[in-house]
Amino acid sequence: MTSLAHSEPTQLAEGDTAGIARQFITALRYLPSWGRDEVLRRLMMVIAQHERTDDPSVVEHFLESLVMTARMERDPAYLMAEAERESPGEPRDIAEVIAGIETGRRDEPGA
Amino acid sequence: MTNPERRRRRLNLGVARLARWAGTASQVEKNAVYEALFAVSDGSVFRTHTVLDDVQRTGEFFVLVRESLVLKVSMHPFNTFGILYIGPQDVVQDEPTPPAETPPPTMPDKTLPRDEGSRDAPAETPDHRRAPK
Repeated sequence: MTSLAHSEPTQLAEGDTAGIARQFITALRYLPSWGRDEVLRRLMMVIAQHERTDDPSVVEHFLESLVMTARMERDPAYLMAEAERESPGEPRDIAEVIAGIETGRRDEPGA
Repeated sequence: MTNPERRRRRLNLGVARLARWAGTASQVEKNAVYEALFAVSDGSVFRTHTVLDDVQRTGEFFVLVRESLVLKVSMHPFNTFGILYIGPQDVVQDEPTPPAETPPPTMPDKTLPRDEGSRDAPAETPDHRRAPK
C-alpha cells in the first residue's frame, strides 16, 4: 500500500483514496465511541480543505493523527494519565520549571 | 519593540507529571523532552518536531520527541500550555485485528439482496507515521 508519509504532493489518486479509506476505518475502530463525532467533524473539515486546495498533506496529517490517537488509546499508561488530569495552576516559565526539577534532583541525597 | 519573552507560552498544567517522569528518565530522554517543551513554549515546535493532533480532543497534540517517546501537550488560553502525558508510545509491529463491530440487525432471508461477495480487501495495518526528527 502507498505510504502516506511518502506520497507525492499532488492530488490523491484513486488507489490512495481506497487505501486511506481502509486505514481510516481500521483506526476508527480502535477509538472509543465517545470520540467518533469529533473525528467525523474533523474529517469533514479536512475533506473540505482538500477540495479547496488539492493539497494531500492535510489528509495525510489527519490520518497520521488518527492512527496516533488510536495507538495511544490502547496504551494503559496513557489512559491512566488521561484519567488523572490535574487542574491548571499558576503559569510558570518552562525554563524555571526545568531548572527547579534539575536542581531538586541534584540536591537529593545520593544524587 | 516586542519582548520575545512576552510571547512565550507558560506552563500551567503538568509540572508534577514532568517532575515524576524526570525522576525515572535518562538524561538523554530528559534533554529531548526539555528541548521539545522549549519548542512548545516559543512556538517553534511545529517546525522542529513532528506534531500530530489528538483527533478526539480539540487543542491537544502529540509531539514525537524520539522514536519511542511522546509528549502530549494541551494549548490553553492566555498563552499557556499543559503537559498531559510523557512516555512511550504504543509501538506495535503487528496490529491485532480491530475489535469487531456489532453486526447490524439481520433481516429475514427473503429480503436480503443476493450476495455479491466481499468487495473489501482485508484490513491493513495502519501505516506508521513519520519518524521524529
